[in-house]
Amino acid sequence: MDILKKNFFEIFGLPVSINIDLVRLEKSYTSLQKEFHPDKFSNSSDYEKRLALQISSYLNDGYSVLKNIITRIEYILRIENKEADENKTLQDSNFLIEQLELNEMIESLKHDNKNNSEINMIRKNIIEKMDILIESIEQGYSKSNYESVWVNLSKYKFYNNHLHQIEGLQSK
Amino acid sequence: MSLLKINDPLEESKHLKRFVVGIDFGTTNSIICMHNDGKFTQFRDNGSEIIPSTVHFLSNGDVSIGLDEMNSGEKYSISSIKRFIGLDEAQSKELANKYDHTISKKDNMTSFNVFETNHSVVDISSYLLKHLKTVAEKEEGEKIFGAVITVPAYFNDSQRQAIKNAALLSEINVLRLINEPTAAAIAYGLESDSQGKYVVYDFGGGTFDVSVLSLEKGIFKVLSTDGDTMLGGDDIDFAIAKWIKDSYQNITLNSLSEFKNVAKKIKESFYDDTDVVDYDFLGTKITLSKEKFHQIISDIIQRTVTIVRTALKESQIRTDEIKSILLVGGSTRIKYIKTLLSENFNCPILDDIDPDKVVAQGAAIQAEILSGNSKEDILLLDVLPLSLGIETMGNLSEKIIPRNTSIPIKSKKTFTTFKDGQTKLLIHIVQGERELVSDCKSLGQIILDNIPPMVAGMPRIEVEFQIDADGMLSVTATEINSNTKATIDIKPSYGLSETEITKMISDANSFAEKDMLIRRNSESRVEANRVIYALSQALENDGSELLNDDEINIVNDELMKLKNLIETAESEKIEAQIKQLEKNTEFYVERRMNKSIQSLIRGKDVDEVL
Repeated sequence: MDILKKNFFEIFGLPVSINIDLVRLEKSYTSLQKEFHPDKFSNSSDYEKRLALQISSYLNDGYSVLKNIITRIEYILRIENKEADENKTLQDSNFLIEQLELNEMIESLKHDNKNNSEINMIRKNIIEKMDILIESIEQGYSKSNYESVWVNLSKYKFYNNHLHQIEGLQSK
Repeated sequence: MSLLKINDPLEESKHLKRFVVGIDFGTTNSIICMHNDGKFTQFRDNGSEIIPSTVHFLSNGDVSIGLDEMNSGEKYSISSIKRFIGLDEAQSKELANKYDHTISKKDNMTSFNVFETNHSVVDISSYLLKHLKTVAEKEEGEKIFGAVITVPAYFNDSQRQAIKNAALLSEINVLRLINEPTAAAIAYGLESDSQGKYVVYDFGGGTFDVSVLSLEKGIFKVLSTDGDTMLGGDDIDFAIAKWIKDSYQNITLNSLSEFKNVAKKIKESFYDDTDVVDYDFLGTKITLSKEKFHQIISDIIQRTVTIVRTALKESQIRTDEIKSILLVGGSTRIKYIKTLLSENFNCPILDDIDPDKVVAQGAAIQAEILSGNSKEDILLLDVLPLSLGIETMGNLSEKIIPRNTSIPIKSKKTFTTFKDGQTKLLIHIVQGERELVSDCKSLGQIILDNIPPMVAGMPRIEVEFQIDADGMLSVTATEINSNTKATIDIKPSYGLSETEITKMISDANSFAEKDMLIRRNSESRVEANRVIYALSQALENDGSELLNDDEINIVNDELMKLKNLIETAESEKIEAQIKQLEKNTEFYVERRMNKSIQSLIRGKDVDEVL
């Protein structure tokens, strides 16, 4: 199956890039699913049904990987064979201390009577840092500095987890 | 691409339309419906489009379904069978007590003891489905070609399998299982050509389901789904029943379920927003005010609102983005639900289509499309309702496919052995969101029984989890080095029975025999290739990490010797070289073993293949 050998960017007709056109992704995805979804093959041979199942599954996988910026960057590293060892850890003590402090702050917000303006401020702050990290990741990637991509992505994931926790506090 | 396009079915087979139906197999009532030339036909049983999902067993062994109550004599009735589907033993017992049923086990499934015969949950479901089929075929005068059957979105794999098996027993060709809220969205979507984000609030007799969908140009994309398969109108009835029992203690009835019918009637009296309901029950006047009624059911309704919020959060949709909430299921006739929903979500509530029929109608439309009768260009993209996981060390579930992933979807994981010479591997598959395996639903176990004996960490067993468009799982396991294959479909209900496991093992064994044959035929070359492959892979993966340069040279030297022999040498020489290689690389194997144990302890897979 040729289509299954294509990488996700190729399948959806997108350039390999950290920032992608999400509208185009959505459009390519739905038009491909309209073509290959198993429902479109309910009167076809078993072999075709099987192929449709494979292709449709692959499209769903690709769509969800590319839609999320973290999995998208990880996927780029993977197709460029620059994946980091899964045991590799971040060695930036200042950053890690900051994360611990953030952790404590969020924990204390959980127990205190929540202070909405404070929560909003922390949230804004985190989002700003995440935006800067994405810029750094893009720069690193354009210079083929994969170490820097990896480091900044690791940091991004830390912030992302914190962001989720904070948004959890807000929706309560 | 060798895929053939489907020809426009209307062009070539206008007169060859197939008789297809949508079936809403509900907890309280069921409906079988056809969509043809833009019109819906709900087939009638004794004049009623709504067919009670009740099975009456007569002492002479006969079974009658639904409204048919003309038979006199001793009778045992089972209703709400759908609530029993996929429950474990303890849950079944609890529920059976509520309904005053005696249950045991048959074919590893809950079964009901009626006039000294056991009928399993799947049996009883199949009686109902068969009845629906008969009703439709009688009226239409034609055999049903196929059916789309709806299931609660929140049904897990074993519950879906139970429905499929029941359909199989009723000789119904299942075109597709679709989720009830999605079916409702199709019915609404086609009617109003809607675009935007919608919430389907489906509160039926026994289950509560919510789906958040995006509707756009014929594409119905489910963004998230959530629900509770143990929350429905039945629970409201029980809550009212309990209130009657507690408030009118002069009514001496033993069990709560004897109050249930009255409770249900009182609930239905509130559908038109009455202020007070009076009801005469065994000579006692029961009076329930609207305020008290709301108070009684408030907990249950609040639970549904919380579930809607969770689904919204999961779909990353803000409340103000919701275009409207579609109401589905008989229980949504309670006015109080509409009030609470508009208060909480501040958007229009749509209830134009009969909430009892909307699901069957959506299913009928989908059946028409799947059969090729309709050229309507719509596509359903649904999601997996509950995460799929496997058991890892420490009774933990490691998620392989997270919930709300679009289906169909495939995921691969690579496993390895834990002990030297280990030939069996057991993979326990679970479904659910909880961390502990014991808190998730056990779907089944895969036993791979013919792993060639190797040192720990060497075999690479690739397991493929495929979820199809029905939301159902099939699993394939392959040992890459020997290419041993076993395919196991997940069996229904409470894990797998012993006979099923025995069958799986013998299936796996027959693959092993075949494998042995190939190995005998090609003598030792296959073995040599396997060794070369395994060792090269190992080197590639962790050679530089675990070995110094001298050691790498030793391993490469042995590899070269074997590679040189493989084309031309006799099998004795190859075998001798394999032995020598294995002996001279033992140190490496030992280090790998240590490493793989380490990573297994951390609960990670060894060498992600993808």
